[in-house]
Amino acid sequence: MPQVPGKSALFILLTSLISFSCEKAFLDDRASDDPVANFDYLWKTLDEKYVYFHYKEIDWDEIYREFRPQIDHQTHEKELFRVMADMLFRFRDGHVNLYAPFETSRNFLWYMEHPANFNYNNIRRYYLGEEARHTGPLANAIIDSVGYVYYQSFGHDIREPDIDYLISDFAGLKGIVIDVRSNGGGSSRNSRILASRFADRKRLVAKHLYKRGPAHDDFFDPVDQYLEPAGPLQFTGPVVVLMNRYSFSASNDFILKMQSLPHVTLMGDHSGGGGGIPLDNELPNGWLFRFSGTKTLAPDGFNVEHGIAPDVRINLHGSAEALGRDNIIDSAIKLISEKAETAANSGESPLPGKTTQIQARDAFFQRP
Amino acid sequence: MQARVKHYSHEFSIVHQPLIGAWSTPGRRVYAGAGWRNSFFLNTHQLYRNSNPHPVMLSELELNVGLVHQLGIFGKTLFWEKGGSFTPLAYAARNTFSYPLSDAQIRANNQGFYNFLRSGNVYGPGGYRSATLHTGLMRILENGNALRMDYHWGGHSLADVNPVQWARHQLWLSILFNF
Repeated sequence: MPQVPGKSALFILLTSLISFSCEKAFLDDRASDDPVANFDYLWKTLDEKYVYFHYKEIDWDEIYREFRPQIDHQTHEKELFRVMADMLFRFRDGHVNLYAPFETSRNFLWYMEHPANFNYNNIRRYYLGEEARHTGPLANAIIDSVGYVYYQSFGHDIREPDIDYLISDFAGLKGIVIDVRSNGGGSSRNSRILASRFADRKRLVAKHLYKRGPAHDDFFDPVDQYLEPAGPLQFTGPVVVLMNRYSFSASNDFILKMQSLPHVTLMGDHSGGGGGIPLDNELPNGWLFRFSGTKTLAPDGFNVEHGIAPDVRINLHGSAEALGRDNIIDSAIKLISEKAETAANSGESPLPGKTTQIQARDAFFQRP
Repeated sequence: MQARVKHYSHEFSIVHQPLIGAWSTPGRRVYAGAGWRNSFFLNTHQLYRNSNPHPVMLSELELNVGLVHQLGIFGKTLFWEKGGSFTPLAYAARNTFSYPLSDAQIRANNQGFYNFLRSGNVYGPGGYRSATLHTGLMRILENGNALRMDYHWGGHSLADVNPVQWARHQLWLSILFNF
């Protein structure tokens, strides 16, 4: 008769097997449709994880007392959405959204109260023109020996060969204008890829703060963020970054990185901000929402949530716009030309880093 | 809007359960011992853009007990086992409170898995509570190999700054080889 395995060997064999298995997470897609439960979940999650209560001087408890009485257990879902959206509007934060199957809430006041300072039609027709090149997502042209680059969205990925080609092709020019006006953001990875091609050395460009616990001011110590030169060559001549109030999120991040570089001038209007990384969450009823989950500071401690000021503030003039001109681009080209002329008159190398760039370009084109 | 959560888990455990002769009888054998269980879970919400993934790594020291009864059904000899475990000490690594990286990964500006593993904490019974129960039938074949079918249940609770609870039901079909 078979024996009960009296030794432990069988049990060791049984339990030491590395087991792979098929599993299904038993998560209810609509755990609760109760309006009150959903409202409380939204309020509590933001109470613990939103990062700008102190910076924006938001009394979240007072907001609860204002909005919570507007719903009860019988509130219709569209009314619930409206109440939640109105509550979220108090953040005035472009990274705070509520996504229901029938509607998405979004706050645009952070830029709609300001001039647009941007006319894509004029750029397309009169600056990029018919000769414009499109290097990946970067539309570009050479205007008066100055490279002009228009980047519509940081959501459009920049490939390394794209930026290699562009930087090498612009190496001998007076300078480069990078236009991120009305670029509403996307991936900060693209921001880093692009900015690293203008870095002259490793520099501290930002500090990130992450939440450690639920209290409004409970953060880990700031984490330093550095920008380093990347790729086979970098452009270290004069660079002007054009920005406006809709330069938001990853655009703001790009502007912050470029701000730390000595050969870069920020021009246009204040950027739109959006310094935090938006994090996602889900309500018990299946609606999604996102919110600013981290804080970003400039190296000097300045909070960039509400944007970054330009070095040269200039608005788009209606009279110029009517003539098909963009006086912000014109000013950027003029500034670069003046810098090149000043450098030439002073006996310095007329184009900072030019020799290095040309050598680098030659090396780049000789690569197998 | 439908939640889409993908769940992946990987588990490796070693358990030593010697026979406790003093508590055993010819029809019932009692085993007790300890084990080392290592688990890795990865949950990803397919609709989240910036908040994936959610990994959990657990390394547990567990105490186990098992009872095996010998049964005769339709002339066949079967062994019915039931048992359970309790975890007095565990090491757990998870993401930070709200950001989808661990503290060590953030500090190192590196998402490397080693940085994730070393970011955990040691928890006693007050921090991590875990208990498992299982029951199953085993039939030993004439060649010495065995077939098993088990049901496992596990309940777990991690009382951290970002507390989490979960439970699992599992059905196991096993072939045991008599080397």
